[in-house]
Amino acid sequence: MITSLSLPARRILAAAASSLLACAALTPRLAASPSAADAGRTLSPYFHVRSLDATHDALPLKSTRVEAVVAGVIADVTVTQTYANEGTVPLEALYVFPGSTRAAVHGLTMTVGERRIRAKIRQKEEARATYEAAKSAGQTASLLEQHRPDVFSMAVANILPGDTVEVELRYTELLSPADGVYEFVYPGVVGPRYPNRPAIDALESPRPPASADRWIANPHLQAGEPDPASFALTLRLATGLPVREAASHTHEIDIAYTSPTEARITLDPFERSPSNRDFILRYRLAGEAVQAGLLVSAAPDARGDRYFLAMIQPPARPAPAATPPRDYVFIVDVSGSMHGFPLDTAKHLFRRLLPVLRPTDTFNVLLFSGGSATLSASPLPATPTNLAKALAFLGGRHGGGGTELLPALRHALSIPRPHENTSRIISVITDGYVAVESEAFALIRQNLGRGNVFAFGVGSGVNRHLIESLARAGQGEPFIVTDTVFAETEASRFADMIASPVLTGVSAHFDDVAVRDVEPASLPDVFAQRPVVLFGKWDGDRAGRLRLSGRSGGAGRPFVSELPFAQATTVPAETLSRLWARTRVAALSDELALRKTPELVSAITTLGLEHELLTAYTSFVAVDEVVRRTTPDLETVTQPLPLPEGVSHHAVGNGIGVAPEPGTAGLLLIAGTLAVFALRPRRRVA
Amino acid sequence: MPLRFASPPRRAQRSRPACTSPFVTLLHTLLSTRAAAVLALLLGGWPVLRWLVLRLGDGSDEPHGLAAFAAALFFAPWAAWREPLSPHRHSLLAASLLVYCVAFPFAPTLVRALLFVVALGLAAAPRGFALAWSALLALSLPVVATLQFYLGYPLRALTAFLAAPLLSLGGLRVEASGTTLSWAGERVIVDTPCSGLRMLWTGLVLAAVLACRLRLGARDTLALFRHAALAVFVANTLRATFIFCLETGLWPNPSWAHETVGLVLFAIVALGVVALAERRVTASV
Repeated sequence: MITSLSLPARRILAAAASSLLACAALTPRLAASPSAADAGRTLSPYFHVRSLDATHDALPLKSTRVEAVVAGVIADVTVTQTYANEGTVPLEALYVFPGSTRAAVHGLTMTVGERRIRAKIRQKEEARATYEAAKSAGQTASLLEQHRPDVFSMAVANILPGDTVEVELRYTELLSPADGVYEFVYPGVVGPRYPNRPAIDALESPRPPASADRWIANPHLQAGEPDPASFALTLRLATGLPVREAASHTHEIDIAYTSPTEARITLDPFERSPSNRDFILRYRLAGEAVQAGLLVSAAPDARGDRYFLAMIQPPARPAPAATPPRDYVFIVDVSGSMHGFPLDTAKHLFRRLLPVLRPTDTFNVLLFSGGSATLSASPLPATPTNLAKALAFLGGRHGGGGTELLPALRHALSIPRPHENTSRIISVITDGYVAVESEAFALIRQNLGRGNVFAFGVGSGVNRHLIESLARAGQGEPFIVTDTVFAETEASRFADMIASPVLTGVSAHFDDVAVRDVEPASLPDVFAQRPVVLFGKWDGDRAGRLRLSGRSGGAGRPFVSELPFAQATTVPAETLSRLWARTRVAALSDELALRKTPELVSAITTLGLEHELLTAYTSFVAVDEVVRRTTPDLETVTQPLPLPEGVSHHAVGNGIGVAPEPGTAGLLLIAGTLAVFALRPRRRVA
Repeated sequence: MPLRFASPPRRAQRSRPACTSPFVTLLHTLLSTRAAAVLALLLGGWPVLRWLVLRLGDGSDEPHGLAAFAAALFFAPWAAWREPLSPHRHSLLAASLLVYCVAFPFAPTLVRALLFVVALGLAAAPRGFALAWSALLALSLPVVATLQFYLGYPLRALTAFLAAPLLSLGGLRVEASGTTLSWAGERVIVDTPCSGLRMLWTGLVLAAVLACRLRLGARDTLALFRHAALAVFVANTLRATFIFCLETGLWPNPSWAHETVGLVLFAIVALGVVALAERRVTASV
């Protein structure tokens, strides 16, 4: 029958049969490939690609609204996230967002339609299981988890088409001034992180990557692309003292003073993409004195505990003449995420830091990305020639590759000091987009005798957790440089700080009052005009006093400051209890970095549950009792994040590059020019 | 300006319908032209065209395919579009459409687009250099991102593997491990933007343009593509070698050095491709 057909028809039939056979052969392979792809999937962040499918809403987060009230030195912040589903498929929305490293997150409320559901604090795995069960059952649920002290995630399940779900979280934060300047920071965006995980882990394990690090694989918008979710911030200052010099260098703001001690600050409505960088408000209060003192909760909290918070002003700084010689090691991050603005800021800062060095000092420079490079095998005298060499060493770098901080720290700590009694100051300059923070802290704490660590965070969306924790672990100070304009100021502050310590051998004594669970357990040296902050619980009547003592300056002059409990300001017990618990959790977390024990995990979990705090081991979960989704369709959508301002696309998905190819436009220009020239009509010779 | 043929082309025989009504004859005449076939393809292939337009604007790939498309339009046989398709082309077109229809429900969108381009090439490609012209159409699709995904790592690993012995010739003990080059405690990785795929794409577009302009047949066109691809790969390996020296500080590293090295090497490759194409023409004359 086939032979009776014409030749073209036979050809067509043959082609059709071949196609069908090919389809049948390929189909099982196509179906099998996704699981193979899953096993090899990496944790790297990636760029968001707009979907052509209009049935699901790829951008469920519609707005973020921040309302903050600063009363005295305590900030109470409410963040309201609004999720909506404009598609036709039910959604689960995932959103990774930053938080202040000092924030005590203590409440979550979810509003679905007219129903308002208060979240419960649970142990992390239990909260996740409750959430997953509610998700499977078709109930709208939300889950707030902590992945790092400054990185949180919100998951909202079963947002039905047309739904609007509002999730409100609340946190409290202590504002501690430096040199008389108070700073309120609302972190804007989580920058892309380099996971530093060997690829072999993903290949060997058939399971998806650990949930603890899954947030790293987050989609990002292209550099410069504005955040589709709107952002609004309102801050009310009620400081108790007249406010002066309130300003923000990160955003355009409107300030309205309702009285000399109260002001209302809002973002300028024409601010473009306000959420791609941290919001920072700095202000001073009238007079030179820091609003320091003693705060107590007169009434006990639900657990029967009463708390105190002491903020004590240190003495004035002595002359730097008596300071011994110092050895500086500058560790500069030159990885991919530093490409462009952050590295330019780092270079600018570095140029401002070098004049701090005196001729009697020595220094070295270590650059790190995927590998590391050192200026010299041993410390160099801070002569003009050597300083110029250091500037040229850094100047030729452009930023590329991952951030391998640990090998750089190990290398820096292993460089021998020029003399036994030289004081070593290690300055780390990085944007902190790395996910191995715990190991770095452990290394520094184990080597405290080898140097004070100062951390400089550069860029518009700095990983403040890394910066502050590095500095805390090394008994140093953090500096944040969000723009080249501030490099001079921060370098000067650094110079002032290290010129000589303000207080050493600091100790706190409590006379005629019983105290317990005091944080911090030991007080570090004070390098700057920063108050000493103490938290704790107290019992008995208010007849006692706190006495802080130490040695001031190079000559070791004694310093004493006394604060009577009877004259302390009274604040609600829950406020101080959360702040105390947050400080305690931070201290336990630093210990956890040294060695992870079940006792430490249990202690953090207990604190989180008792004080209703979000921690690495406790999460908030809210479940609407009504079952609303009755179909099996549920799409999980991860909200893409804007790249922090000034961060280039090199921060996403790049290895340690040789260098990118030339741009296609340039290549086409060359190809086109050569083609036109070579193929032009040639004149015939007669 | 469209090319003028040196001699009139062989015109395909137009089959006449059994009914001799003038209207039907006119309709049959119109519908059996190349233009009608192309229009019908464009109408029927609207999902692919819609996807193409959206891909241009979503940022997932560079829109430089428009340059290849513009070149294809330039070399399109505008004068011949009133001509009917030959029976041979008709059969091939029907077969390709069948494959497209069968594959459509489950093929990835890019594969659908490639099948569509094959059909379009069969309907519209000029005689004499059909393969080169169809290649221009295929290169106008957003293929670079997909090639980067599938071919990127193998190319980078091979580049690193070949760069290491080149660097050793200069006295550097460089070890290649995957896409990583290690030397003296420093590591440099040939990462995604260094795979050479952009240079490869541009080199192939240049080769296709030359093949169209010089009216190279299928065999000569394929040979030119092969040589262009090899030349680009060698150039990218050399580029990785030079830039390793810049990145590790062995050579001075001004900010313009990276881009310049790449452009110079590509210009050399492009000159080579032009010379090869002209030699092909001379050899076939």
